[in-house]
Amino acid sequence: MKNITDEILNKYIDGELDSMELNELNHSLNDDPDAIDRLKALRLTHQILKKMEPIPAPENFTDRVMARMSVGSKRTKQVNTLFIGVVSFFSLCIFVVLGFAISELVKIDMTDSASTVLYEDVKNKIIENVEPVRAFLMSDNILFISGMISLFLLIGLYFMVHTHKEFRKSLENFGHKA
Amino acid sequence: MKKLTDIEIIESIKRGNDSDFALLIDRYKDKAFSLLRRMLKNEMDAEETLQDCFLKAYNSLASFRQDAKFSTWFYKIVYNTALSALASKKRQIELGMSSIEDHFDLGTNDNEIYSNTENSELYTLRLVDELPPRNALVIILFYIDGMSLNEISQVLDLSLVNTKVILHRSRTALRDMLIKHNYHEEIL
Repeated sequence: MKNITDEILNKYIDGELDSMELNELNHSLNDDPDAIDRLKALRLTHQILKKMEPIPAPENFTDRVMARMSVGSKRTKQVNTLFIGVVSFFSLCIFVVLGFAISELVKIDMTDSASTVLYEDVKNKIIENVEPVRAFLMSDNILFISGMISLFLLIGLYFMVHTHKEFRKSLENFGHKA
Repeated sequence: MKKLTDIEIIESIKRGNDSDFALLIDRYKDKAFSLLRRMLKNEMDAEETLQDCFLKAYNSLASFRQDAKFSTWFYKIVYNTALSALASKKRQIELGMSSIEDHFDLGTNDNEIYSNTENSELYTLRLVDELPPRNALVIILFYIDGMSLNEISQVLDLSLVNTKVILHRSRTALRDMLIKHNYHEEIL
């Protein structure tokens, strides 16, 4: 061994040298007082670092985290309830609109009777009330704005889902690798 | 009484015993706090970040695969959260120093540290705080947590060789400072 490098000394400290390299090092150290100094200082460093103690976390740390955890889970439950409520409301609205649209489209073959008159009456009243709203919603500007908002929402949703999926995947892959 | 393993505790939490998470917190809080304290150089930031780390770990427990070691998985969360905290505080310059290609100088505050420490032990431990964040992290995970270089490389997302280079460079730099002040002569 011509030159005893710090790399070799570090490997010696970590027990990474095989028996042949160890013999060679021991032999070379006899002729290299500087390397002996470096090795002794490195061993001292290693011994000091081995005695290193962790810095204690602040008092009541565990209690504080557990308190935050319970607040977080309560909030998640509240958000879940709100989310289910909103989704149910909009689903109901969609069903109502769909029902109305279908009733408009499907021609019911009815005989001229009291029920037909009643049906026509109700239909006309609904159309009368809904017509101004429909005209407003079907105007070009509103359609354009709502189209753009929907597009942005969809793009935002895509990126949100994508980021979430990537994060979960990286966590799972890591767990798998380890 | 038999000490529960990390995996047994996690299984219990997954069965609905949320309070068992306190066992994991107690087991890792001091070591993780040491790590964050040295990376963020501030006690309050370290505590806040550590709380976030435990909450993240709790919320992601479902995705934790039990063939992995919890400690490696958890320290990866700690490391990444600390990096985000550093980035948000615009400490990227300090972070950049942790590249293994860069050299670092432990001598910048040496006069002050040397004059305020009584012996080689206190002097060396104080110098660990002066190491770049990633170097300090490797030293702490290796010596305090007793992690293998292979596990540390997984936490840091580095190759095994690069992790070993960081450990050797850090240790050699600390040793050079001991030689500078002739501390090694105490054992000659």
